[in-house]
Amino acid sequence: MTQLILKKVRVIDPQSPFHQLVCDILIDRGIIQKISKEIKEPSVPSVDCAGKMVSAGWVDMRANFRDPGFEYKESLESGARAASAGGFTAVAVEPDTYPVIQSKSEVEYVKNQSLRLPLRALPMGALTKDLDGGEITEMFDMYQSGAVAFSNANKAVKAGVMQRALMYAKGFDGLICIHPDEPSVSGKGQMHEGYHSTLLGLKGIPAHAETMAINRDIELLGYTGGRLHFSHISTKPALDCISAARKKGLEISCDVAVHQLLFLDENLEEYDTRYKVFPPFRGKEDQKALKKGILDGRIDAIISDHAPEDTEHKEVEFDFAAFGMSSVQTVLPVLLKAVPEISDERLVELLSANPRRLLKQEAVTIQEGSLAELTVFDRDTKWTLNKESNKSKSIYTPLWNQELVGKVFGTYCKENWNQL
Amino acid sequence: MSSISTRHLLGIKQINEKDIQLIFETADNFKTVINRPIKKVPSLRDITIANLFFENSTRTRVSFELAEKRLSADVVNFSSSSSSVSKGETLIDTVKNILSMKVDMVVMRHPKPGAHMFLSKHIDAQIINAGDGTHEHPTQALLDAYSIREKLGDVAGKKVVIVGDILHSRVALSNILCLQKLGAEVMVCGPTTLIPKYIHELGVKVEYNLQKALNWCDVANMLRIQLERQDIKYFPSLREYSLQYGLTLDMLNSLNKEITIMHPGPINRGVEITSEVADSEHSIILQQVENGVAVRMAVMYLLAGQVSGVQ
Repeated sequence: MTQLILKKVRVIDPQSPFHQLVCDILIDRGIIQKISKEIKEPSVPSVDCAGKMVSAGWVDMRANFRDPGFEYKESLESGARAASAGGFTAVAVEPDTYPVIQSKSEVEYVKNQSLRLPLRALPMGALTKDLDGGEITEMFDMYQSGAVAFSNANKAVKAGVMQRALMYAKGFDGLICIHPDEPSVSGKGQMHEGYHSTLLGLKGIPAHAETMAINRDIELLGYTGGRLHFSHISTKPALDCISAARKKGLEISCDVAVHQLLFLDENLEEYDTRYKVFPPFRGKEDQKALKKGILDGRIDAIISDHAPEDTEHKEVEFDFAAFGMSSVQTVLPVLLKAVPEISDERLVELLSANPRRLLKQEAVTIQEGSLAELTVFDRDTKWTLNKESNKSKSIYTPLWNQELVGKVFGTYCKENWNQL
Repeated sequence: MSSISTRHLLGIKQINEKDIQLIFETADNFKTVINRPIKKVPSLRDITIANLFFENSTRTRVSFELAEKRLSADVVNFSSSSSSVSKGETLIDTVKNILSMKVDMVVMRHPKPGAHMFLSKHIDAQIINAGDGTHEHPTQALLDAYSIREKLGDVAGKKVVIVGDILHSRVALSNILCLQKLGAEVMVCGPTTLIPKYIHELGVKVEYNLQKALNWCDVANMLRIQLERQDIKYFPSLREYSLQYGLTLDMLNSLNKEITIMHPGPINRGVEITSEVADSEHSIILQQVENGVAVRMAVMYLLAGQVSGVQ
């Protein structure tokens, strides 16, 4: 398909002269050729987008596609299909695969696999060798090969190593995405420490395990300079620390996993392992602060934090169950349910503009001549995540068989229209 | 006759005050029974009960088994350490295998919190929680409250302090919930590192000084230090623990009142309680053990009332 017209779609792009206008968009070989109130080209295939919105394609800053190594949980292919159905045109994939993505060849593997996917899989390189937190990887080589950022997945990095990693990455303006956790405090915790963990007899993960790690890394960044991104923050104090450091001029950004905005620690009441995620679901006050941060701009991005698991890792005793939920296909409805007041502009900023800027992906402006990497969605279509609609290999999400509101209609990526 | 409001006994959390009173009244009858020359009743004839112990236990298992046998139930025992379960067969597989041999009721102890709730969603048999990790141990709490009721006439309005390792104790949580449902006031006392940070949100008082706690209470329930459940050091030594939280006869004598001493067992003599205290007239430790059988008989009898075909 070389040409395509998106008919009667409302443009959401504050940078575009067509912002909030309902237009027809003619795309030719991956480039926006023409935008006009009405384009009459009967020979060109068209998609009726009446009542829907179009924005620059969404970019997920953190998802696990488990490939290579754990393809029984998810593969680049199944993960990409789920993410594409969730509106993403690019996804940064975590390096905690087997083998770990820690050298040029693993980065190349993800890139090569990505060629046949409906979206761009962006490899994140491991920050430390084997993710053990002890020694930095060949970051520059991976960067040259296409690693968009460096992450130590859900594992901690020793302070001295972190300092060197920040300094080293600064040399080529590399981005470090860190999972803030002090493991000697979070220990073998299973859920947020509070009233509910006490009542459930489960080991708690105190909020300060996150803040301690953030404060440490802010301190280090003040010394080293460079760019640091805190992934999936979950508490009010964490957000406060980050905001304060940013005011001092440090190049810090942060994101929140979308489900953190919807679920609370009290959801674990029946030991339902589908709610077992890391960082854990916190209390109401923390969630309120995160929602505020979403609206007022202190949080830069929304991520899926997609962590697909299989039966053997979820249908077991709570302590034995793996952390994580399948989430990449349901980011939009979860966000809309959690923060219904969010504007179209802010939504697109969190899902597209900011992640693109942080990961140095080409900015997309919806105007003639621009790259056509687009997401078409609405805020009111009802649908259900079930066996038929689910694209991930994992069914472990509390939203299973739930009616959801807000749907991605399709994405345009790599010169292809992808519609469910 | 009224019946219990729950199909399983997963925890005290899931039952109400009426259920507890019903269990006590039923236990009164069974206590008479087990003190008769013929200690056995045919109530659970044709009911098969599996005792699944995925964690070591002596007294609880014996207590359940005696209760089952005195109710004329058919009993099978299965013991396995959690490690052998995690090595291969999953919990669901193990239990389903046993249930396929037509078992009506499962009494389970498991090292992981919530294991019973998890299991209840996957199997049909009735489940009695005989302890799930650091979560609940409902029959212990019931027999403790029953023993207080027996000794002091009523539980309502009584002040009960639970002393020791609250953090790793399933007995503490079940006791707190049970005593509160019956209208008692509850305090916890122990080293700061062994008191859960948010325990006060359950509506209990927190005291770090044993003498002050004893001055306040009518009943002191002395818990065992759960060394096997502590993965890190929470206090420097048993000696130092005992120095602060070991209950001695001198302490009891210094009070200007009589208090009742309880212990869920097994006792570490000389650590949380001296032999003098354990064997003194203040202590109702052995009555607790006796009541344990009666209370467990009551629980199984009432739950079995929901199995079709049982009178």
